[in-house]
Amino acid sequence: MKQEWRAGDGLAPLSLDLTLRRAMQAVAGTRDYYPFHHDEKFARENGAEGIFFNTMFLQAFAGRAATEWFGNDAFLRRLDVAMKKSNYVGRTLTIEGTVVHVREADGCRLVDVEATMGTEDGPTTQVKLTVQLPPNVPAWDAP
Amino acid sequence: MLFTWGMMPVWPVVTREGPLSRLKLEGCTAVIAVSAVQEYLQPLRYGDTLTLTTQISAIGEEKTIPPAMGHFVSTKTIFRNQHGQVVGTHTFTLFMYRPGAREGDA
Repeated sequence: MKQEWRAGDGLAPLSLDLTLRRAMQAVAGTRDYYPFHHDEKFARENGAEGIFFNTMFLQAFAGRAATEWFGNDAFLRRLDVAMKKSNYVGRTLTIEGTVVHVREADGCRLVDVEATMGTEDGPTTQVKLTVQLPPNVPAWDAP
Repeated sequence: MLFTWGMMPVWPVVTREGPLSRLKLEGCTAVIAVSAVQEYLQPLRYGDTLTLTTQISAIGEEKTIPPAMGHFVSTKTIFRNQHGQVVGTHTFTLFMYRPGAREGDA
């Protein structure tokens, strides 16, 4: 896992198919039974193009991206997701991000990232996140 | 996960009144999520007991976001562990609107 980061570093895009099955898993997993997220008829009658994914799913996808980029030992400190357009079933969701700051606070190494989630419909969701990198691990000494 | 901890369990069925369900904005029965900001201050560990408190932190003036007329409303939820330490915060902004209401409608 890359340890040194600089402002301007690009982060490898990550994609996920937004299948109906995954939408149902997200509904059950987050206990969010707001009908827009599972009821196609309700969604269409209320101005949406169809079933779209909920906030918690997007937060989870951003969290997954954070650990893909910075490793499982990184600690997500802050996550800001702004929903501009809906993420509909049948699309492919992709997150792309860039490191915007690398800083130290209270002895912690922090990385600020700005990212965009989008589908075939264009950008849908703006994401800002801050991760705390694990402390630099000294080289392992063989006994 | 933080957001999900505050959701109602599927079973047993319990009804709990939150601040949003008590908020009455004339005719604004529809709602759409706008943004969510979370801060994670401490890791959660097995055996922790979480307590959350939610308050309405902002109610905007009536506004038209085509095609709907409504209000931006924000809630702030604070999550504490069994020691009373704040482990996380969640600020959620919604647009609560009148279904079908457009500017100029009587």
